[in-house]
Amino acid sequence: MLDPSKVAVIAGVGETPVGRLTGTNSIELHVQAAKLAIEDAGIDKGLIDGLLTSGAFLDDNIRHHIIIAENLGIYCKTLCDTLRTGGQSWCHGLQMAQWAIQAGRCRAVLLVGGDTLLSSIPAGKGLGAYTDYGAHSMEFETPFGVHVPGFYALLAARHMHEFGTTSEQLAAIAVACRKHASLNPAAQKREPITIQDVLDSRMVATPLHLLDCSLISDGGHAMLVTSLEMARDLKKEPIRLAGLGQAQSYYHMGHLATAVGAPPEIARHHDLTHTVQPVAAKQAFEEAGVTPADVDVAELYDSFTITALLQLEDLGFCKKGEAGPFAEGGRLELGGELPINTHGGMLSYAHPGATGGMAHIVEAVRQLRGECGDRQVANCEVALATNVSAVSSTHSVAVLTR
Amino acid sequence: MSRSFPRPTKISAPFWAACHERVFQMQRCDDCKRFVWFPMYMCPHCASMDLRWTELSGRGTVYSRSLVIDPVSAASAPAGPLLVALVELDEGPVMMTNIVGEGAGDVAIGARVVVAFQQVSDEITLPVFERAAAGA
Repeated sequence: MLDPSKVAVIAGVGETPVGRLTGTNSIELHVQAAKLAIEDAGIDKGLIDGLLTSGAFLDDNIRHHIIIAENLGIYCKTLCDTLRTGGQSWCHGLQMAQWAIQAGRCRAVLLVGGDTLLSSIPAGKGLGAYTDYGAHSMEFETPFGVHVPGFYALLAARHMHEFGTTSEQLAAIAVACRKHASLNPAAQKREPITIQDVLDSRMVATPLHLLDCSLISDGGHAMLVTSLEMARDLKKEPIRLAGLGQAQSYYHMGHLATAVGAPPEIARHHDLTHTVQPVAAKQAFEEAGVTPADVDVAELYDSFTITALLQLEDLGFCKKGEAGPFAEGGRLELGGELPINTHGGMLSYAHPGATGGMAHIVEAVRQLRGECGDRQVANCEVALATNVSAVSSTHSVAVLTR
Repeated sequence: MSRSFPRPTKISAPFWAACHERVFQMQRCDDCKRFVWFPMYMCPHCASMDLRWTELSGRGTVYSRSLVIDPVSAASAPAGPLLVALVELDEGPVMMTNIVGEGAGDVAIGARVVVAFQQVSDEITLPVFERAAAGA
Protein backbone atom coordinates (compact mmCIF):
# COMPACT_ATOMS: atom_id res chain seq x y z
CA MET A 1 0.00 0.00 0.00
CA LEU A 2 1.41 3.32 -1.08
CA ASP A 3 1.93 5.94 1.60
CA PRO A 4 -0.90 8.44 0.91
CA SER A 5 1.38 11.27 1.97
CA LYS A 6 3.61 10.42 -1.03
CA VAL A 7 0.91 9.92 -3.67
CA ALA A 8 0.37 13.03 -5.83
CA VAL A 9 -3.13 14.06 -6.88
CA ILE A 10 -4.83 17.01 -8.52
CA ALA A 11 -6.93 18.53 -5.75
CA GLY A 12 -8.19 21.62 -7.51
CA VAL A 13 -8.50 23.22 -10.93
CA GLY A 14 -9.56 26.63 -12.20
CA GLU A 15 -10.17 28.31 -15.51
CA THR A 16 -11.03 31.93 -16.22
CA PRO A 17 -13.37 32.83 -19.06
CA VAL A 18 -11.59 32.53 -22.42
CA GLY A 19 -11.89 34.36 -25.71
CA ARG A 20 -11.44 38.11 -26.04
CA LEU A 21 -11.08 39.55 -22.53
CA THR A 22 -10.50 43.21 -23.26
CA GLY A 23 -8.94 45.25 -20.48
CA THR A 24 -7.28 42.45 -18.54
CA ASN A 25 -3.64 41.35 -18.57
CA SER A 26 -1.65 38.17 -18.04
CA ILE A 27 -0.85 38.87 -14.37
CA GLU A 28 -4.53 39.40 -13.53
CA LEU A 29 -5.44 36.18 -15.36
CA HIS A 30 -2.81 34.24 -13.38
CA VAL A 31 -4.30 35.56 -10.14
CA GLN A 32 -7.90 34.86 -11.18
CA ALA A 33 -7.10 31.30 -12.28
CA ALA A 34 -5.07 30.61 -9.13
CA LYS A 35 -7.87 31.91 -6.93
CA LEU A 36 -10.36 29.62 -8.69
CA ALA A 37 -8.14 26.54 -8.22
CA ILE A 38 -7.54 27.38 -4.55
CA GLU A 39 -11.29 27.77 -3.98
CA ASP A 40 -12.05 24.61 -5.98
CA ALA A 41 -9.74 22.62 -3.71
CA GLY A 42 -10.82 24.48 -0.60
CA ILE A 43 -7.22 24.76 0.55
CA ASP A 44 -5.71 27.37 2.87
CA LYS A 45 -3.40 29.42 0.61
CA GLY A 46 -0.80 29.41 3.36
CA LEU A 47 -0.29 25.68 2.83
CA ILE A 48 0.95 26.17 -0.75
CA ASP A 49 4.71 25.69 -0.81
CA GLY A 50 5.31 25.06 -4.51
CA LEU A 51 4.65 27.27 -7.54
CA LEU A 52 5.27 26.60 -11.24
CA THR A 53 4.48 29.05 -14.02
CA SER A 54 5.38 28.96 -17.70
CA GLY A 55 6.12 32.59 -18.34
CA ALA A 56 3.86 34.60 -20.58
CA PHE A 57 4.10 36.19 -24.01
CA LEU A 58 2.80 39.42 -22.50
CA ASP A 59 4.29 40.72 -19.22
CA ASP A 60 7.03 38.11 -19.15
CA ASN A 61 9.98 38.20 -16.77
CA ILE A 62 13.16 36.14 -16.56
CA ARG A 63 11.93 35.09 -13.10
CA HIS A 64 8.25 35.11 -13.94
CA HIS A 65 7.54 32.67 -11.07
CA ILE A 66 8.61 35.29 -8.52
CA ILE A 67 6.35 37.94 -10.03
CA ILE A 68 3.39 35.57 -9.81
CA ALA A 69 4.32 34.40 -6.30
CA GLU A 70 4.35 38.01 -5.11
CA ASN A 71 0.99 38.73 -6.71
CA LEU A 72 -0.44 35.68 -4.95
CA GLY A 73 1.30 36.25 -1.63
CA ILE A 74 2.96 32.84 -1.62
CA TYR A 75 6.03 33.72 0.42
CA CYS A 76 8.37 30.77 0.98
CA LYS A 77 8.41 27.99 -1.62
CA THR A 78 10.50 24.80 -1.60
CA LEU A 79 9.84 24.41 -5.36
CA CYS A 80 9.38 27.48 -7.55
CA ASP A 81 10.30 28.00 -11.19
CA THR A 82 9.27 29.26 -14.59
CA LEU A 83 8.92 26.29 -16.91
CA ARG A 84 10.33 27.17 -20.32
CA THR A 85 8.97 24.17 -22.17
CA GLY A 86 6.28 26.20 -23.92
CA GLY A 87 3.15 24.36 -24.94
CA GLN A 88 4.25 21.20 -23.16
CA SER A 89 4.82 22.92 -19.80
CA TRP A 90 1.89 21.49 -17.88
CA CYS A 91 2.13 17.71 -18.08
CA HIS A 92 5.83 18.41 -17.53
CA GLY A 93 4.93 20.61 -14.55
CA LEU A 94 2.66 17.90 -13.16
CA GLN A 95 5.63 15.56 -13.18
CA MET A 96 7.79 18.06 -11.29
CA ALA A 97 5.00 18.56 -8.77
CA GLN A 98 4.61 14.78 -8.44
CA TRP A 99 8.32 14.39 -7.76
CA ALA A 100 8.18 17.12 -5.10
CA ILE A 101 5.22 15.43 -3.38
CA GLN A 102 6.76 11.95 -3.62
CA ALA A 103 10.03 13.24 -2.18
CA GLY A 104 8.24 14.95 0.66
CA ARG A 105 9.64 18.32 -0.41
CA CYS A 106 6.27 20.04 -0.96
CA ARG A 107 2.77 19.81 0.51
CA ALA A 108 0.89 21.66 -2.22
CA VAL A 109 2.13 22.82 -5.62
CA LEU A 110 0.21 25.43 -7.62
CA LEU A 111 0.62 25.43 -11.41
CA VAL A 112 -0.75 28.55 -13.07
CA GLY A 113 -0.69 30.23 -16.47
CA GLY A 114 -2.49 33.00 -18.31
CA ASP A 115 -2.04 35.29 -21.28
CA THR A 116 -3.80 37.85 -23.46
CA LEU A 117 -2.69 36.89 -26.96
CA LEU A 118 -5.97 37.96 -28.54
CA SER A 119 -6.61 41.34 -26.95
CA SER A 120 -2.98 42.50 -26.63
CA ILE A 121 -1.62 41.77 -30.12
CA PRO A 122 -3.05 43.53 -33.19
CA ALA A 123 -4.79 41.19 -35.63
CA GLY A 124 -2.39 39.79 -38.20
CA LYS A 125 0.70 40.65 -36.13
CA GLY A 126 0.79 37.59 -33.88
CA LEU A 127 2.89 35.24 -35.99
CA GLY A 128 5.46 37.94 -36.67
CA ALA A 129 5.59 38.89 -33.00
CA TYR A 130 6.05 35.24 -32.05
CA THR A 131 8.87 34.89 -34.58
CA ASP A 132 10.60 38.00 -33.26
CA TYR A 133 10.14 36.68 -29.71
CA GLY A 134 12.79 34.12 -30.61
CA ALA A 135 10.80 30.94 -30.85
CA HIS A 136 12.34 28.57 -33.38
CA SER A 137 15.61 28.91 -35.22
CA MET A 138 16.28 32.56 -35.90
CA GLU A 139 19.37 32.06 -38.03
CA PHE A 140 18.75 29.02 -40.20
CA GLU A 141 14.99 28.50 -40.50
CA THR A 142 12.86 31.63 -40.05
CA PRO A 143 14.88 33.64 -42.62
CA PHE A 144 13.21 31.46 -45.23
CA GLY A 145 9.81 32.86 -44.32
CA VAL A 146 8.46 29.90 -42.40
CA HIS A 147 6.20 30.62 -39.43
CA VAL A 148 4.56 28.28 -36.92
CA PRO A 149 1.74 27.08 -39.20
CA GLY A 150 4.39 26.64 -41.90
CA PHE A 151 6.50 24.39 -39.69
CA TYR A 152 3.49 22.18 -38.96
CA ALA A 153 2.52 22.30 -42.63
CA LEU A 154 5.87 20.73 -43.49
CA LEU A 155 5.09 17.99 -40.98
CA ALA A 156 1.61 17.48 -42.44
CA ALA A 157 2.91 17.42 -46.01
CA ARG A 158 5.46 14.76 -45.09
CA HIS A 159 2.82 12.65 -43.31
CA MET A 160 0.60 12.87 -46.39
CA HIS A 161 3.52 11.88 -48.61
CA GLU A 162 4.53 8.87 -46.52
CA PHE A 163 1.13 7.54 -45.56
CA GLY A 164 -1.47 8.99 -47.93
CA THR A 165 -3.14 11.04 -45.22
CA THR A 166 -5.71 13.45 -46.65
CA SER A 167 -6.92 16.97 -45.92
CA GLU A 168 -10.34 15.50 -45.19
CA GLN A 169 -8.85 13.26 -42.51
CA LEU A 170 -7.07 16.20 -40.88
CA ALA A 171 -10.32 18.18 -41.07
CA ALA A 172 -12.13 15.42 -39.14
CA ILE A 173 -10.08 16.44 -36.08
CA ALA A 174 -11.21 20.07 -36.38
CA VAL A 175 -14.81 18.95 -36.85
CA ALA A 176 -14.69 16.75 -33.71
CA CYS A 177 -13.23 19.55 -31.63
CA ARG A 178 -15.86 22.03 -32.83
CA LYS A 179 -18.68 19.56 -32.16
CA HIS A 180 -17.46 19.24 -28.58
CA ALA A 181 -16.99 23.00 -28.21
CA SER A 182 -20.61 23.43 -29.26
CA LEU A 183 -21.50 21.52 -26.07
CA ASN A 184 -19.17 23.62 -23.90
CA PRO A 185 -20.67 26.99 -22.88
CA ALA A 186 -17.17 28.30 -22.09
CA ALA A 187 -15.70 27.66 -25.55
CA GLN A 188 -14.63 30.50 -27.82
CA LYS A 189 -15.96 28.99 -31.08
CA ARG A 190 -19.20 27.03 -30.79
CA GLU A 191 -20.80 27.10 -34.26
CA PRO A 192 -20.58 23.55 -35.68
CA ILE A 193 -18.47 23.08 -38.81
CA THR A 194 -18.21 20.41 -41.51
CA ILE A 195 -15.24 18.86 -43.23
CA GLN A 196 -16.11 20.96 -46.27
CA ASP A 197 -16.01 24.12 -44.12
CA VAL A 198 -12.43 23.28 -43.14
CA LEU A 199 -11.42 22.61 -46.74
CA ASP A 200 -13.10 25.84 -47.88
CA SER A 201 -11.38 27.97 -45.24
CA ARG A 202 -8.48 30.14 -46.35
CA MET A 203 -5.20 28.35 -47.06
CA VAL A 204 -2.48 29.35 -44.56
CA ALA A 205 0.38 27.08 -45.58
CA THR A 206 -0.30 24.07 -47.77
CA PRO A 207 -1.79 21.68 -46.78
CA LEU A 208 -3.10 23.49 -43.67
CA HIS A 209 -6.21 25.66 -43.91
CA LEU A 210 -7.25 28.29 -41.37
CA LEU A 211 -9.57 25.81 -39.62
CA ASP A 212 -6.66 23.36 -39.27
CA CYS A 213 -5.05 25.98 -37.00
CA SER A 214 -5.76 26.62 -33.33
CA LEU A 215 -7.39 29.80 -32.08
CA ILE A 216 -5.76 32.91 -30.63
CA SER A 217 -7.22 33.63 -27.20
CA ASP A 218 -7.04 35.32 -23.84
CA GLY A 219 -7.45 33.17 -20.73
CA GLY A 220 -5.89 31.64 -17.65
CA HIS A 221 -5.79 28.19 -16.05
CA ALA A 222 -4.54 26.72 -12.78
CA MET A 223 -4.15 23.37 -11.03
CA LEU A 224 -3.30 22.45 -7.49
CA VAL A 225 -1.29 19.28 -6.81
CA THR A 226 -1.21 17.89 -3.27
CA SER A 227 -0.64 14.55 -1.59
CA LEU A 228 -3.55 12.13 -1.47
CA GLU A 229 -3.41 12.43 2.31
CA MET A 230 -3.90 16.20 2.21
CA ALA A 231 -6.54 16.01 -0.51
CA ARG A 232 -8.72 13.79 1.66
CA ASP A 233 -9.34 16.81 3.88
CA LEU A 234 -10.13 19.10 0.91
CA LYS A 235 -13.38 19.72 -0.95
CA LYS A 236 -13.08 17.82 -4.22
CA GLU A 237 -12.53 14.21 -5.19
CA PRO A 238 -8.77 13.82 -5.72
CA ILE A 239 -7.69 12.89 -9.25
CA ARG A 240 -4.62 10.69 -9.32
CA LEU A 241 -1.53 11.38 -11.39
CA ALA A 242 -1.44 7.73 -12.32
CA GLY A 243 1.29 7.99 -14.93
CA LEU A 244 3.46 10.77 -16.28
CA GLY A 245 6.19 10.89 -18.89
CA GLN A 246 8.13 13.31 -21.02
CA ALA A 247 10.46 13.21 -24.00
CA GLN A 248 12.07 16.17 -25.71
CA SER A 249 14.12 16.40 -28.88
CA TYR A 250 15.05 19.48 -30.98
CA TYR A 251 13.97 22.74 -32.59
CA HIS A 252 15.45 22.48 -36.11
CA MET A 253 13.21 20.50 -38.43
CA GLY A 254 16.21 19.17 -40.33
CA HIS A 255 17.51 17.73 -37.08
CA LEU A 256 14.15 16.14 -36.40
CA ALA A 257 14.11 14.60 -39.87
CA THR A 258 17.40 12.76 -39.28
CA ALA A 259 17.54 12.52 -35.44
CA VAL A 260 20.92 14.23 -35.46
CA GLY A 261 23.14 13.13 -32.58
CA ALA A 262 21.08 10.11 -31.57
CA PRO A 263 22.89 6.77 -31.36
CA PRO A 264 22.04 4.61 -34.42
CA GLU A 265 19.81 2.22 -32.45
CA ILE A 266 17.67 5.20 -31.38
CA ALA A 267 17.96 7.29 -34.56
CA ARG A 268 16.44 4.54 -36.69
CA HIS A 269 13.16 4.92 -34.79
CA HIS A 270 12.81 8.67 -35.35
CA ASP A 271 12.29 11.15 -38.13
CA LEU A 272 9.87 14.00 -38.82
CA THR A 273 6.79 11.78 -38.62
CA HIS A 274 8.16 9.46 -35.91
CA THR A 275 8.46 11.77 -32.90
CA VAL A 276 9.84 11.00 -29.44
CA GLN A 277 6.33 10.98 -27.97
CA PRO A 278 6.24 7.16 -27.78
CA VAL A 279 9.05 7.40 -25.20
CA ALA A 280 6.94 9.72 -23.03
CA ALA A 281 3.81 7.64 -23.59
CA LYS A 282 5.56 4.40 -22.61
CA GLN A 283 6.66 5.98 -19.33
CA ALA A 284 3.18 7.30 -18.59
CA PHE A 285 1.22 4.17 -19.54
CA GLU A 286 3.61 1.82 -17.74
CA GLU A 287 3.58 3.91 -14.57
CA ALA A 288 -0.22 3.96 -14.65
CA GLY A 289 -0.44 0.26 -15.45
CA VAL A 290 -2.89 0.88 -18.29
CA THR A 291 -2.82 0.67 -22.09
CA PRO A 292 -4.26 2.96 -24.78
CA ALA A 293 -7.26 0.63 -24.96
CA ASP A 294 -8.14 1.57 -21.35
CA VAL A 295 -8.38 5.32 -22.11
CA ASP A 296 -11.94 6.66 -21.89
CA VAL A 297 -11.15 10.19 -23.08
CA ALA A 298 -8.03 11.67 -24.69
CA GLU A 299 -7.40 15.40 -24.37
CA LEU A 300 -4.75 15.78 -27.11
CA TYR A 301 -2.75 18.95 -27.56
CA ASP A 302 -4.05 20.37 -30.82
CA SER A 303 -2.12 23.41 -31.94
CA PHE A 304 -2.95 22.17 -35.43
CA THR A 305 -4.99 19.25 -36.71
CA ILE A 306 -1.76 17.47 -37.67
CA THR A 307 -0.45 17.86 -34.10
CA ALA A 308 -3.35 15.79 -32.76
CA LEU A 309 -3.44 13.36 -35.68
CA LEU A 310 0.21 12.40 -35.26
CA GLN A 311 -0.35 11.63 -31.58
CA LEU A 312 -3.01 9.02 -32.38
CA GLU A 313 -0.11 6.99 -33.77
CA ASP A 314 2.66 7.94 -31.36
CA LEU A 315 0.48 7.31 -28.29
CA GLY A 316 -0.39 3.87 -29.64
CA PHE A 317 -4.09 4.30 -30.42
CA CYS A 318 -3.36 3.10 -33.96
CA LYS A 319 -0.34 1.98 -35.97
CA LYS A 320 2.11 4.41 -37.52
CA GLY A 321 0.64 5.78 -40.73
CA GLU A 322 -2.94 4.83 -39.88
CA ALA A 323 -4.09 7.93 -38.03
CA GLY A 324 -5.77 9.37 -41.12
CA PRO A 325 -8.32 6.56 -41.49
CA PHE A 326 -8.51 6.30 -37.67
CA ALA A 327 -9.71 9.92 -37.45
CA GLU A 328 -12.61 9.30 -39.82
CA GLY A 329 -16.18 8.24 -39.21
CA GLY A 330 -16.77 10.00 -35.92
CA ARG A 331 -14.41 7.76 -33.96
CA LEU A 332 -12.95 10.81 -32.19
CA GLU A 333 -16.30 12.36 -31.34
CA LEU A 334 -18.40 11.93 -28.20
CA GLY A 335 -20.08 8.56 -28.52
CA GLY A 336 -17.21 7.30 -30.67
CA GLU A 337 -14.48 4.85 -29.74
CA LEU A 338 -12.02 7.51 -28.55
CA PRO A 339 -13.52 10.94 -27.83
CA ILE A 340 -10.83 13.61 -27.96
CA ASN A 341 -10.74 17.20 -26.73
CA THR A 342 -14.16 17.21 -25.13
CA HIS A 343 -13.79 20.88 -24.15
CA GLY A 344 -13.17 21.76 -27.80
CA GLY A 345 -9.39 21.81 -27.67
CA MET A 346 -7.22 24.64 -28.82
CA LEU A 347 -8.87 24.36 -32.21
CA SER A 348 -12.24 25.51 -30.81
CA TYR A 349 -12.17 26.07 -27.00
CA ALA A 350 -9.19 28.42 -26.66
CA HIS A 351 -5.45 28.82 -27.17
CA PRO A 352 -4.19 31.50 -24.80
CA GLY A 353 -0.52 30.70 -25.44
CA ALA A 354 1.44 28.41 -23.17
CA THR A 355 -1.53 27.92 -20.84
CA GLY A 356 -3.53 26.40 -23.71
CA GLY A 357 -2.19 22.98 -22.85
CA MET A 358 -3.33 23.24 -19.24
CA ALA A 359 -6.94 23.36 -20.40
CA HIS A 360 -6.56 19.78 -21.67
CA ILE A 361 -5.59 18.64 -18.17
CA VAL A 362 -8.33 20.69 -16.48
CA GLU A 363 -10.86 19.10 -18.83
CA ALA A 364 -9.48 15.61 -18.08
CA VAL A 365 -9.93 16.31 -14.35
CA ARG A 366 -13.50 17.53 -14.88
CA GLN A 367 -14.34 14.47 -17.01
CA LEU A 368 -13.05 12.15 -14.26
CA ARG A 369 -15.04 14.08 -11.66
CA GLY A 370 -18.15 13.84 -13.86
CA GLU A 371 -18.63 17.63 -14.05
CA CYS A 372 -18.93 18.01 -17.83
CA GLY A 373 -22.69 18.14 -18.38
CA ASP A 374 -23.70 17.74 -22.03
CA ARG A 375 -20.16 16.75 -23.03
CA GLN A 376 -19.61 14.21 -20.23
CA VAL A 377 -18.07 10.88 -21.23
CA ALA A 378 -20.06 8.15 -19.48
CA ASN A 379 -18.25 6.14 -16.81
CA CYS A 380 -15.00 8.02 -17.32
CA GLU A 381 -12.30 6.21 -15.31
CA VAL A 382 -9.08 6.80 -17.27
CA ALA A 383 -8.29 10.12 -18.94
CA LEU A 384 -5.25 11.01 -21.02
CA ALA A 385 -3.90 14.53 -21.44
CA THR A 386 -0.95 15.49 -23.62
CA ASN A 387 1.15 18.59 -24.10
CA VAL A 388 3.27 19.20 -27.18
CA SER A 389 5.58 21.99 -28.20
CA ALA A 390 8.11 23.14 -30.80
CA VAL A 391 6.77 21.40 -33.92
CA SER A 392 5.93 18.10 -32.23
CA SER A 393 9.46 17.81 -30.89
CA THR A 394 8.82 18.05 -27.16
CA HIS A 395 6.19 16.02 -25.40
CA SER A 396 4.71 15.34 -22.00
CA VAL A 397 1.94 12.86 -21.31
CA ALA A 398 -0.35 12.41 -18.30
CA VAL A 399 -2.59 9.48 -17.46
CA LEU A 400 -5.14 10.55 -14.86
CA THR A 401 -7.50 8.30 -12.93
CA ARG A 402 -10.13 8.58 -10.22
CA MET B 1 15.73 44.81 -39.00
CA SER B 2 13.76 41.76 -38.09
CA ARG B 3 15.43 39.41 -35.66
CA SER B 4 14.77 36.64 -38.13
CA PHE B 5 17.34 38.11 -40.51
CA PRO B 6 20.46 35.91 -40.26
CA ARG B 7 23.08 37.36 -37.95
CA PRO B 8 26.35 35.49 -38.40
CA THR B 9 28.05 34.29 -35.22
CA LYS B 10 31.59 33.15 -34.52
CA ILE B 11 30.77 29.65 -35.67
CA SER B 12 28.42 30.46 -38.56
CA ALA B 13 30.34 33.33 -40.15
CA PRO B 14 32.27 31.06 -42.57
CA PHE B 15 29.00 29.60 -43.83
CA TRP B 16 27.47 32.99 -44.57
CA ALA B 17 30.69 34.39 -46.02
CA ALA B 18 30.90 31.45 -48.42
CA CYS B 19 27.25 31.81 -49.46
CA HIS B 20 27.98 35.44 -50.23
CA GLU B 21 30.73 34.19 -52.60
CA ARG B 22 28.25 31.63 -54.00
CA VAL B 23 30.07 28.71 -52.44
CA PHE B 24 27.93 26.15 -50.60
CA GLN B 25 29.91 24.63 -47.73
CA MET B 26 29.21 22.97 -44.43
CA GLN B 27 31.37 21.53 -41.70
CA ARG B 28 32.49 17.92 -42.10
CA CYS B 29 33.84 15.89 -39.22
CA ASP B 30 37.43 14.75 -39.71
CA ASP B 31 36.80 11.76 -37.45
CA CYS B 32 33.38 10.30 -38.41
CA LYS B 33 33.35 11.92 -41.87
CA ARG B 34 29.73 13.01 -41.50
CA PHE B 35 28.49 16.45 -42.46
CA VAL B 36 27.16 18.78 -39.78
CA TRP B 37 24.26 21.19 -40.20
CA PHE B 38 23.85 23.84 -38.79
CA PRO B 39 27.33 25.21 -37.93
CA MET B 40 28.46 23.80 -34.58
CA TYR B 41 31.43 23.74 -32.25
CA MET B 42 31.35 19.98 -31.74
CA CYS B 43 30.32 17.15 -34.04
CA PRO B 44 26.86 16.14 -32.79
CA HIS B 45 27.38 12.65 -34.17
CA CYS B 46 30.68 11.62 -32.56
CA ALA B 47 31.67 14.54 -30.27
CA SER B 48 34.85 15.27 -32.23
CA MET B 49 36.05 18.86 -32.17
CA ASP B 50 37.77 18.46 -35.56
CA LEU B 51 35.28 19.97 -38.00
CA ARG B 52 36.48 21.23 -41.37
CA TRP B 53 34.59 23.49 -43.80
CA THR B 54 33.96 21.42 -46.92
CA GLU B 55 32.20 22.32 -50.17
CA LEU B 56 29.06 20.33 -50.99
CA SER B 57 27.68 19.17 -54.32
CA GLY B 58 24.75 21.54 -53.93
CA ARG B 59 22.36 18.76 -54.91
CA GLY B 60 19.52 17.36 -52.90
CA THR B 61 16.00 15.99 -52.76
CA VAL B 62 12.88 17.70 -51.43
CA TYR B 63 12.00 16.07 -48.08
CA SER B 64 8.92 18.20 -47.43
CA ARG B 65 7.44 21.37 -48.80
CA SER B 66 4.74 23.95 -48.08
CA LEU B 67 3.51 26.96 -49.94
CA VAL B 68 3.37 29.56 -47.18
CA ILE B 69 0.75 32.06 -48.30
CA ASP B 70 1.72 34.99 -46.10
CA PRO B 71 5.31 34.39 -44.95
CA VAL B 72 6.46 36.24 -41.88
CA SER B 73 9.65 38.22 -41.49
CA ALA B 74 11.36 36.52 -44.40
CA ALA B 75 14.57 38.32 -45.22
CA SER B 76 14.13 37.11 -48.76
CA ALA B 77 10.39 37.58 -48.96
CA PRO B 78 8.97 38.97 -52.12
CA ALA B 79 5.37 40.07 -51.86
CA GLY B 80 3.26 36.95 -51.90
CA PRO B 81 3.56 33.25 -51.19
CA LEU B 82 6.89 31.54 -50.61
CA LEU B 83 7.68 27.86 -51.22
CA VAL B 84 9.32 26.70 -48.01
CA ALA B 85 11.03 23.33 -48.13
CA LEU B 86 13.15 20.89 -46.22
CA VAL B 87 15.83 19.62 -48.58
CA GLU B 88 17.81 16.45 -47.89
CA LEU B 89 21.26 17.11 -49.27
CA ASP B 90 23.09 14.33 -51.08
CA GLU B 91 25.72 14.54 -48.34
CA GLY B 92 23.15 13.78 -45.61
CA PRO B 93 21.97 16.88 -43.77
CA VAL B 94 18.39 18.14 -44.05
CA MET B 95 18.02 21.91 -44.19
CA MET B 96 15.24 24.50 -44.31
CA THR B 97 15.28 26.58 -47.49
CA ASN B 98 13.15 28.06 -50.24
CA ILE B 99 12.53 26.61 -53.67
CA VAL B 100 12.66 29.40 -56.25
CA GLY B 101 12.48 29.75 -59.99
CA GLU B 102 10.35 28.09 -62.62
CA GLY B 103 7.86 25.56 -61.29
CA ALA B 104 8.80 26.21 -57.69
CA GLY B 105 5.19 26.32 -56.51
CA ASP B 106 4.50 22.85 -57.86
CA VAL B 107 7.67 21.16 -56.63
CA ALA B 108 6.86 17.76 -55.12
CA ILE B 109 8.42 15.82 -52.29
CA GLY B 110 11.12 13.68 -53.86
CA ALA B 111 11.97 16.22 -56.57
CA ARG B 112 15.65 16.79 -57.30
CA VAL B 113 16.90 20.32 -56.59
CA VAL B 114 20.14 22.22 -56.90
CA VAL B 115 21.44 25.10 -54.82
CA ALA B 116 21.11 28.69 -56.01
CA PHE B 117 21.90 31.89 -54.19
CA GLN B 118 19.71 34.84 -53.33
CA GLN B 119 21.47 37.98 -52.11
CA VAL B 120 19.24 39.75 -49.60
CA SER B 121 21.59 42.42 -48.16
CA ASP B 122 25.14 43.69 -48.44
CA GLU B 123 26.26 40.90 -46.08
CA ILE B 124 23.75 38.09 -46.44
CA THR B 125 23.11 35.73 -49.32
CA LEU B 126 20.65 32.92 -48.63
CA PRO B 127 21.18 29.41 -50.01
CA VAL B 128 17.97 28.58 -51.86
CA PHE B 129 17.22 25.81 -54.33
CA GLU B 130 15.90 25.44 -57.87
CA ARG B 131 14.47 22.42 -59.61
CA ALA B 132 17.28 20.40 -61.13
CA ALA B 133 17.40 19.57 -64.83
CA ALA B 134 16.09 16.09 -65.66
CA GLY B 135 18.50 13.34 -64.69
CA ALA B 136 20.43 15.47 -62.18
